[in-house]
Amino acid sequence: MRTKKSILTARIISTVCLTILGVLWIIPLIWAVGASFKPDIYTDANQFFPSIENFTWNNYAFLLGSEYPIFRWMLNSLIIASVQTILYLIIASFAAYALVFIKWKGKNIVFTIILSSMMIPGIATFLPNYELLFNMGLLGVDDFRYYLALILPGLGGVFGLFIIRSFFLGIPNELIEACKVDGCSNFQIFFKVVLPMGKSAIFVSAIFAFLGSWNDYLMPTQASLLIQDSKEGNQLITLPVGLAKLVSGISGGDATPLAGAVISAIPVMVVYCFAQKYIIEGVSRTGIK
Amino acid sequence: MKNVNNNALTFEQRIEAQKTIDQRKSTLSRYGTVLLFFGPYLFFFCLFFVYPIIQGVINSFYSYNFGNPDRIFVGWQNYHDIIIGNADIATYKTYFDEGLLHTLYFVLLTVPFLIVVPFILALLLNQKPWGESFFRALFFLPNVLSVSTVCILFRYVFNPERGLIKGFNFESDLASAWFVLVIVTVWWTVGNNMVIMNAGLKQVDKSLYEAASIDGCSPFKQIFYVTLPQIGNQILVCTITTFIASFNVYGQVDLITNGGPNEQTMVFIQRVLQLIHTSSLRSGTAGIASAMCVLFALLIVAISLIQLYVTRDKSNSHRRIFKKQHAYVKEGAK
Repeated sequence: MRTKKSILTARIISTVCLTILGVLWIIPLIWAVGASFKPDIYTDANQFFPSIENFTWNNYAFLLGSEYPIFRWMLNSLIIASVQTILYLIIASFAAYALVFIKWKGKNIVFTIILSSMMIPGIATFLPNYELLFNMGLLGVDDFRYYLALILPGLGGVFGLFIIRSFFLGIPNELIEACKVDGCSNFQIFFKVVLPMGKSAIFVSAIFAFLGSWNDYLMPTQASLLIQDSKEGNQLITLPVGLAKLVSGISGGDATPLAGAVISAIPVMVVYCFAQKYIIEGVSRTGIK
Repeated sequence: MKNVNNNALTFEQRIEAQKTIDQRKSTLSRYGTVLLFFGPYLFFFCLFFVYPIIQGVINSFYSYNFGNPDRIFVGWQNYHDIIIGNADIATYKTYFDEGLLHTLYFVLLTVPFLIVVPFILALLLNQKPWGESFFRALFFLPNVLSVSTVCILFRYVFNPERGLIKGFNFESDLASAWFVLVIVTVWWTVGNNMVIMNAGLKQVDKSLYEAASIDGCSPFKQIFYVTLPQIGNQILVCTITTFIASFNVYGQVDLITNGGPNEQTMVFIQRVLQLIHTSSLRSGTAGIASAMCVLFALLIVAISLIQLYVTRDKSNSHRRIFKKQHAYVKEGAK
């Protein structure tokens, strides 16, 4: 039997260990925020924070005045991620409904195939997709069609469908059958019963879809290579691509990219503060069949 | 005519006929609904997933350049060039071998940490520390940052002369380069597996620990004999997904070492991209890149299937029964 004393010891030890590890985990972030207020990284290099007399907003001011429109990138990422999330949720929740509540031949096979496609590495579908989007006239153009090239491929994603389906499976089938006996159509059941009950699932997969799109790197960087590298072209790209440009565009001891990284982290952090409970709940569900 | 025929049927026959028609109608409308509900998803899944896979396999048998409609069928030549080698152009085989080798290094260096560290964190979180949910949120936090943000941060943190952690010259020293790549990846993605394992630990029946300690099992041994077998399913999920994710590494290497020093950390995806963008090589490189991708996909699927096969539920039926009981108890408690 575990005594009260041993439980208390475990609590104390684990809290101490986690505090030490937690400090280790957060130190790089805090240091980086501090360093972004240094005039350059050579100043106060041996101090954790910049000293008061060297504290400066210059990196931020320079970044905002440069040819790198970081807020425009954020807006682009926001537009792409929101549109993709909304479209994907509509498509995926209807699909999940069909997979869970309608009887049809072969639906388990279809779902197994869809699920096992998660094993295929992204690069295997990347090349043909790149060409497909190019042939559809969505790549290599300097306007909104470039956004479509980044939005559309995500609509066939598997992960969100998987989460929504697993939540829907928890809704008692008798309830749906009862609705059907009462003469409800599938649409009515979907909107009046299943959607209200599966709200949290849809919210969780919304967060994942949004973050996945917001942080997407491979396709946006490769697609941006076909956009002209100019002031106008810079207006079109997404945040991760833009940040990558900062890395190669500004060199030496300059801390401007660091300011960009800090700015880019702020909106995600704010969303995370409010939604972390749902995000973590969603992740923990992926391990339980 | 139909009416006459209908009238010729007996009442029971007519009822039967009506039933079949109703059934057919309902089956038809059911499949219509399925098409309506599932069709849009299936369309996008086929267009951006099934089609590219098939097209990728087809492309691997051609010699062609990206964006150029002229293509020559070359059969197994591309595969021959990357597996066995081509006397004229040795680069293809080198690209494939080295890209795969460096990716494998990355996988072998990161996956153990991405299983063990999250497991330790999950165990600690399971001891009911004060601020449990705060710590969970803290370790998960880096996960939501984009790869670009993380890499910029750590390029400064690991700046050899002026960073927070000095002395790791990741742009010129190979060992430092791998070290930084592993640290960044672990820091960035550890929270995901931690949360999955922690959720598994919460489901373990506390009475098992009590039974084990009555039998004289020390807390340390309990980890191996009680905890690990009980969360086997979560560990399996974490291992497979982490393997796949690590094989797909691209962003960190691209942004931190850029494949250097001396292309010694150049991973598979970078090599593939190099092949489609390069103009210095002889034409037809997109076909080579496609063949490389096909082999790469086969490799990863094979590794995943082997993992699933090795860890399949053999004959430990008592464990399955226990799991079921547990599920029933949970259902009952609701």
